[in-house]
Amino acid sequence: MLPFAVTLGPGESPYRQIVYAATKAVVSGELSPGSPFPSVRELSQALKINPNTAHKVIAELVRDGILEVRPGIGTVVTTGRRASAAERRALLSSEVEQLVVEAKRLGLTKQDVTRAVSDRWSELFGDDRDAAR
Amino acid sequence: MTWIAQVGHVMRKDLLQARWFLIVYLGVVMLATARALEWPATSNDAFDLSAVFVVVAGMFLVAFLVQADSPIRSDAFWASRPIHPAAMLAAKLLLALIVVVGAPLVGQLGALTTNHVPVAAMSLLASRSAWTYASWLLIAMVLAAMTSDLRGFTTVLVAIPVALGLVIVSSRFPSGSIGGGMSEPGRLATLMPVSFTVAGVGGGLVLLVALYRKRPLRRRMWVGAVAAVACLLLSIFVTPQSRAASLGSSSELSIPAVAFQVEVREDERTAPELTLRTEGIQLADRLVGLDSGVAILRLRDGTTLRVSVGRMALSRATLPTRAGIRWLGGYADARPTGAKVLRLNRSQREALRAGIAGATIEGQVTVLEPRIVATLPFRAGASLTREGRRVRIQTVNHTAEDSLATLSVSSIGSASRVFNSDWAFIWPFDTPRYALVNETRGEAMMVAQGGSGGSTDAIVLPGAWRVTTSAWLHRNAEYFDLAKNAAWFDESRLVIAEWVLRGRTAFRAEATLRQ
Amino acid sequence: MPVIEVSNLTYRYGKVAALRDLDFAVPQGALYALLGPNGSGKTTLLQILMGLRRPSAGRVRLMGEDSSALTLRERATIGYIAEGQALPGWMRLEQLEAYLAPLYPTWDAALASDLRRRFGLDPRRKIQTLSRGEQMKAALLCALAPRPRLLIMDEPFTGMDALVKDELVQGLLESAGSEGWTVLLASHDIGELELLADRVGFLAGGRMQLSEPMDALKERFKRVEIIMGDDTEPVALGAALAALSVERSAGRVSALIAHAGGMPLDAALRARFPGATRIEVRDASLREIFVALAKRAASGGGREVAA
Repeated sequence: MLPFAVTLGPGESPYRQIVYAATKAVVSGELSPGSPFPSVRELSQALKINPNTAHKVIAELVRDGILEVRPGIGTVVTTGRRASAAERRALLSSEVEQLVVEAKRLGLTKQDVTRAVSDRWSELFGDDRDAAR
Repeated sequence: MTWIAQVGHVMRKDLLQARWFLIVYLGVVMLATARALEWPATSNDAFDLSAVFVVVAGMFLVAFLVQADSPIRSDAFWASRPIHPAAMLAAKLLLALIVVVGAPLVGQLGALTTNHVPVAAMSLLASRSAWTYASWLLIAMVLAAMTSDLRGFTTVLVAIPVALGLVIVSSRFPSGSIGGGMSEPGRLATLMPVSFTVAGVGGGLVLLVALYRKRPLRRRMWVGAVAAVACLLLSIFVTPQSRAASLGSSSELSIPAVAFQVEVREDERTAPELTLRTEGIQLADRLVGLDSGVAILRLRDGTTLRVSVGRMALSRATLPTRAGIRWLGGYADARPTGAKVLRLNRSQREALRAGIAGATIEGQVTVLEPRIVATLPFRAGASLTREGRRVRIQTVNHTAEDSLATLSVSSIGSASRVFNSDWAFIWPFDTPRYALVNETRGEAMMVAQGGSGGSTDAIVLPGAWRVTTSAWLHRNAEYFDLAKNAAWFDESRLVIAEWVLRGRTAFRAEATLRQ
Repeated sequence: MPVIEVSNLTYRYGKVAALRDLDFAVPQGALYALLGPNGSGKTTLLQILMGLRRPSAGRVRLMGEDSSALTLRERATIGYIAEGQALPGWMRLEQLEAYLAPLYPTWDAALASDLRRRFGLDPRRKIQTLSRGEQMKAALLCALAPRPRLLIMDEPFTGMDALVKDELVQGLLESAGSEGWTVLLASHDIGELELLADRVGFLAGGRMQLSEPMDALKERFKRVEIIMGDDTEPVALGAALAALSVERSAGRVSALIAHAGGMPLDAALRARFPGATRIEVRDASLREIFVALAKRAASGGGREVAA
């Protein structure tokens, strides 16, 4: 059982999908800093992927600073690093793209989209100007 | 695991895998052994072919073993494991030799022992049986290695050896070369059977090794397989025949001169008739006969005519007894004479009209010596077992005209070189001669054997045979009136002798002419 | 040094050449998926690698040695399971393990009992009484217990239900030794291989149509969707965009493209379809790629699509 949610779908390489999901989980706080991250073996067995791929995922996450290797303990989520707003925005890029393209297809304008987003946010979470957490 | 350890490892696996098959096989072997030991339950005719069943069952068993780890199937489990192909083959061969050949061999040795067969003869019989059986098993292994399953094996088993067997048998029957013929052995029999054995066994083993190690194209291997099987079959069926060589020189055999006479009888109505007469020699202790005789006639017009004489007896003999025994019926006194009318064809008859100037008789002479093999009191139920031979007097009738006694004689052997003095039918086994000897009165009487029935039975494995004959003895017409009283018979002993080849040599003698 | 190296391999069965001048290599540590339609010769190729069949021509090297010259010790480091291979059905599983264990110096009894437990196999049952899935698990156990350096599997998932497939994959991943091993897995069903394999080969028409790392393959083959703004019939893609399969209808084009690199695909498409409202480029699934390749191979031998 992995400590974060990931469903592998078609269209994009599993490696990218897992990196993306793991990064999202860390940034959103789902994976708290200092908590252990699955090993290559656990990752590969849980997702039924090639161990080499799992290895690449972890290497990339370590390289990005999402994970760090602690001797004697293993791979853990980094502490003391907070993703900047820009980085976090980047995580939403594919969803944003989807939204924009779909809106265009339906013949909506940019303003329609922003208003829709704003309205929905207020509905769900109330007015929250401060996006940082 | 070392090579040797792997052999043992596979053998253990094979024993486990084939355990039910083995049990059935051992059951068949035990039945054949019971039959060889003459247990009453197995005297039924149904058990006649026990030895054949053993061989066939053994062949199927080794086929099963070979195909359990097939050398040709691409889905064979063992082939993808780190097992030495040579170790695999060695395991199958060893199991075939130790268990499949071993079990019936033990039974055979047991049966031979209970029949008091001497050790030398026993080892010869046993080793020959084992060798023959091993050859059959090798055939089965080669065919099983070349086929994918038992069904394929059965098909090939039936097809190939049957076809080859027909070829062999049909070329083996030119002119009475069965058993110990004194005529020229058939052409195949003069080829060295040893070369067949070497080619068959060697070829078979080489083929198996090649199949296990190299996995070559099957199609090409069939040629080799058929050749190896053919050689093995030939080595099994073509037994070594000694050529008609001389055995002992004429002086050694001390054959006194025989007087031959050639007589031509002219007749206006019928064609000329040619008769060959002999004044026989009474040799008290040996039988002499002429074989493959030829009369070479020198004709008056200068030409030479060869007429076949064939076989002709040249003497009679009595059985060796102690000195002073008087043979009743004048058997020992008569000077035997023989006469034979020679068959002529048309051109020979024409040539004879020129008249004969001289004649020479040529041929092979065989000398046989009698040897007492058994002496029994002459009463029903007496029996004797010695050196693999058993004699049993079943009934005795003093007064009946036609039947004096019936005997059951069985002997164990393979092929021997003993001849029936009548030469009427040559058994490959010894044919005893009979006499009644009354020591008390110092009298003896030759007894004729009229008719016999016989059966041949393999002792667990083919190669050791028991031949059982029932012999009916009767008195010769000559001394029908003699010694009819029961007391004479009660006192007498039945003496059984066999005739042993003493020697064979070339013969040549001049014949006189008789007009 | 590649663990498996095959050059100019030809195998003739009667008059038919099942494998023609085949070349391919499997590098150390790869999990190599050998794909191809039914009857394409995958089983024959694997049997030749294992020495169960003799090639008509060509050379096979395993772990640096000619395959016919391998010592027994080296052969003991190769594991093999095949869909068609008959396990000795008369044996019980424990007897089979006892038979095989002494043949392999590296047999790990602990791993064997571990796998037995994971697979839920009763060691006292005769193998012929096991279901197909259980038999495949038993075969996998026997192949994995000696901790092989090279594992060759022929259609291990065929005919297995999803649960068994899952268990087989789990068992496989669990036994991947820390020393590293190489796996060659042949299948006509792509399924789980998409995520497992890091190298792919495609055998069709007796030849390797391609053989390359999974990443590179995914980089090359893309599925593109072009949606025009209106209902006009879109133009053809053109030869520059090497399309393996194209579907065109009013207002849209969907194609599978073997991208040769050079100009970015995005830009090339935009240049060709300037009026398109949407151009989507995504990774093609392995299934899409191989269906297209198989169709091409079936319809008259393929032009090599190797990169």
